[in-house]
Amino acid sequence: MRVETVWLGRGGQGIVTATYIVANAAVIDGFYALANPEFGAERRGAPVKAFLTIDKSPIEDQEPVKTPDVVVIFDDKLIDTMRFAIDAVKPGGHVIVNTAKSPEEMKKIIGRNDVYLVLLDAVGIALKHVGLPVPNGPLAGAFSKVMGFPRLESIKTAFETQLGKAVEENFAATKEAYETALVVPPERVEQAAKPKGVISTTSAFLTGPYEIVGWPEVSKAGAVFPGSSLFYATGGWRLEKPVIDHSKCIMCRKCWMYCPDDAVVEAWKEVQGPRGRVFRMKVIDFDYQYCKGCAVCADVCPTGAIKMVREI
Amino acid sequence: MTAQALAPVEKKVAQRRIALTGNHAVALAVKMCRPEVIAAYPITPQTPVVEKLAEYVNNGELDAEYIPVESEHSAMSAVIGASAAGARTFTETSSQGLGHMYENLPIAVGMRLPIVMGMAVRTYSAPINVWGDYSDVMSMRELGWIIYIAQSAQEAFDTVIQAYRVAEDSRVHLPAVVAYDGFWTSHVLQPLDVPEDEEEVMRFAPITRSWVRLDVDNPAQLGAVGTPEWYWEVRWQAVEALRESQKVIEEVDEEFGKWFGRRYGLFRTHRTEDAELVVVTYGSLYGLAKKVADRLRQEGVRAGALRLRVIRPWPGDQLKKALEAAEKVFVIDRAINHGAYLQGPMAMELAATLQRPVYSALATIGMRAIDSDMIYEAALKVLKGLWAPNQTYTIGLRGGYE
Amino acid sequence: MSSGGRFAKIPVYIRGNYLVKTAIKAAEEYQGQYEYANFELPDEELFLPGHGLCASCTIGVIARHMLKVFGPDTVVINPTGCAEVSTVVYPRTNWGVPWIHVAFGNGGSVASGIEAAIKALKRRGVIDPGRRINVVVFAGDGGTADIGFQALSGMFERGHKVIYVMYDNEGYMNTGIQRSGTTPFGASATTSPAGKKVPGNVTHKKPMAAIAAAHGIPYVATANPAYVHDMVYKFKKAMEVDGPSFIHVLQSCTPGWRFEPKYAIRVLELATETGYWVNYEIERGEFRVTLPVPRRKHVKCFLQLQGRFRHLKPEEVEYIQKVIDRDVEEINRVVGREVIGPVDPSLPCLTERK
Repeated sequence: MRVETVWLGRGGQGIVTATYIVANAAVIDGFYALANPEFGAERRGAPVKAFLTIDKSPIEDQEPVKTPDVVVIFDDKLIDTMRFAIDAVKPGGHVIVNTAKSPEEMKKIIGRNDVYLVLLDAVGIALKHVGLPVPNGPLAGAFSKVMGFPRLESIKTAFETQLGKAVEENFAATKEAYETALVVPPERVEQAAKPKGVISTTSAFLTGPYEIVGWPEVSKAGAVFPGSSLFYATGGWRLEKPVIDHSKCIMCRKCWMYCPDDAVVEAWKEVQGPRGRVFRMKVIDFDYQYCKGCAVCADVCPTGAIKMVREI
Repeated sequence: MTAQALAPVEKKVAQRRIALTGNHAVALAVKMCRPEVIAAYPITPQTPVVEKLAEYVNNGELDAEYIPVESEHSAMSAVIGASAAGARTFTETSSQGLGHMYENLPIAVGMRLPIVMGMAVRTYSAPINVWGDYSDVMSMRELGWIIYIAQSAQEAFDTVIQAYRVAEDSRVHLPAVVAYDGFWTSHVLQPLDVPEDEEEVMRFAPITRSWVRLDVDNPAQLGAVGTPEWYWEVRWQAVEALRESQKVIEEVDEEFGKWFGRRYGLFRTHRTEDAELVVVTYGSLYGLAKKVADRLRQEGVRAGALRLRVIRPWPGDQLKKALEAAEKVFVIDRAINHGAYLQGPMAMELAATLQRPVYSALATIGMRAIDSDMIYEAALKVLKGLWAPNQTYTIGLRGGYE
Repeated sequence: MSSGGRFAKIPVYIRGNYLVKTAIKAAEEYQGQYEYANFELPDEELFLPGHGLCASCTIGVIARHMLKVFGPDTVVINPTGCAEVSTVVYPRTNWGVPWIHVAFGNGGSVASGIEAAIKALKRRGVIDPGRRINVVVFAGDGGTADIGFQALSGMFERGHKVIYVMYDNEGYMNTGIQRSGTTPFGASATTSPAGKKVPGNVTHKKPMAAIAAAHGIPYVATANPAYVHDMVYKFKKAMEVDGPSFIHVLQSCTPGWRFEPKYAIRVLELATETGYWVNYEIERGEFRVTLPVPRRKHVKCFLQLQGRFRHLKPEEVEYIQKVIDRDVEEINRVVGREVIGPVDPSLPCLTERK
């Protein structure tokens, strides 16, 4: 028996910790496990992935998981970015998603009818018990529920060794997820069928739509040139987006001044006067291609014109 | 390119004969190459080079910025910065100084900067020993630098000029080091021929500025993170450039011969054509090896000598050809390859190149004195079968394997 | 889709399509009080978006405004650190000016070499002698106060005309929040964790600005990106002096200091409002506080916003307050009047914004 899993989330959500906890708990239960996170140069908020393989016999073939049995998604906003992983799940496998959306909606978004969907509001559960939006404990609980291992008590022991603090709180969240996670079975499973795709072994460190070329074509001395970062849209990191109420804005430009991503810009907006004349008005707008949703602009706004709204 | 091809050619450039120590010869060559930035830190035995260069700068004989940095780490950093900004640069070091600048050495390669560094070789501490052996330069072999080892003050002078021309060639763009014996060359006064008109050197090796530079009008940027997706490809260009550089090194050497009447090849040979025994060594020891070969010839032994000059890129095919007829290849190394199958670094590389056992011995470690009699005795042991191949012996070590 | 090599053809990116026409004008409360009140900055962004810095990382704020002041004729030397690994990852870069990263501990010496090269190339006519090219080091606290200290000191002592900007996030945040020479007392970092026996970091912040000033260089300043006007004015001054200059900029770090991302600027404001961070400049030996604080908030306002100080006991907080009181007293003594006022307990820690 071997279970190959891929865990997808963002830097700072505890993906690595989650795989360590489940691996540790599996080891306590007598399994062999390898938790193998991929580290890039990215920072908090950027998509990251980790591999976790659990087996009854020792694992020596430490290689990237290409067609996982289970994919765990820490953030339903990542589904589009991480679709390659969902497509690679073996038929009859599991997709565990942290989401507050309805099962019907999720089914549509995931777009596969030959895998188990496991849905839970992990952030909600974590906020309730731990007081922090860390979905790793609840997702470990959902994993245990659908796979039948590791045992809940082992997860608790793993919390003690891996976290060393807030064990009771995290375990309460794990337990609630174990009890409440919703499992939607597949409509039909053709056991012999192959997954739609495989996870490429090169995608982890490729952040941006850059063409992979051979050594004679890379730039000499590894030099890079201005303008190249514009292909790297960091808008996908965002959980909330800023919106502005122009009627409250006094054009103090504090938001522009403090934006670390150069995502606050001035734009011309056309407004119609009472007698039909069109005026061009200078207003603040956001470049959602790059905005990471840090909310600094909303915090520094002296009139409360900028609000953060949760994105779909 | 072997010595057989090195027939004297007609000199194009008028020259005059002077007498200088190896260090001062290097300083003079550097001055004639007109570097724009020199950064160096004192360390024995290279110090006279940078002292002389500082003197040239302060007397107005050389228009350059001389940065008296606070360490070798900073010396290499400063020349990397200056070279990246588009300047011709020079630094010089030895031993522990090389160790201190070590982390920057592969960076200069990855950024493809044509830095030229001199090196009066010296052994590594401990115990602290300021005298010459080749431990330091041998520790640079894996990094991607072009490595020259010169025999004399004249050759060090000529090689510095060649090194600038090679390093700045657009097919190369790699840093180069010119190593020569600490003390036995660096501090020994020798005759040498230098051009009457310094301009000739700049005509031979003009500053190309063809490498990737930090130019405000075309802002290229150097030193990006190379993730696992990209690192290998970027680095591989430097690997290929180093391989390519062999051709350029030979071309430049040949043209240097036409201009100045002196050529060295990738290595030099002495009576190796029909030799059954070839003594291989490097640096100033070559003179002794030649003397031993001549003495053995007088006694009826077909002996020859070979001196390694360009050890990176390694002239494997050429060495194979030059040594294929020799029954016994006896490598006298001047650095220790600690814990290796053969403790001599060049013996290991030659064994791998020739794909047969070689005879290996260590000599001059920590600048232990040596004379031609000692080498002669060692050669006899090899000839008589007293020394076996695939083993490392020592020449001059008390209580050692003799 | 485009390959690495082809970026050479993309010109310096200017956000012209948005018709950005913005000048930084001082907020009303500063007007007339300071000489930099009406300082204007160009529209062009030379630090472009699309970087891997954490959401809300103030390195972005510092780098953007720094390049607005220094302009396109600038060479940036970026030793290893968060800014380096997040902004220039082959084949992309966020910088619109020539930029180089060599190693961790050699920002000062690489800059020395570049500055010397520019001087020499000007003399030889390769670069137009009339053109001013700024050489700027943008280094973190580790690359400045710890591993890069020797190179920094050498550069100051040799008098290279280099602007050294140190962004200080008070630890090795890039490698996972280890303590550095500028980690403050009491902060919990991964190599100085708040343990049962030792309450986090037990040493005090290395006074980098004072150390720089001790080299006798013409311009030294401390700055805080929450006060952009003050910061850019200092960049401008540093650019104009003849000789080395050093600007120590405090930079808030979400994962390292452990605050909510949206408080990135607030926490920096509190650093100044509590007297934890004093914005001053030392111009040719003359010390001047550029942002007087008439009434201070208690330091607990600054500390309680951050997870790295959460473990501190009240007496440890009081100890930190005492150290700040002592430093403030010293600053007031040097200035000769009370530029930083006493603690006013009635001041609220966070004024709720509308």
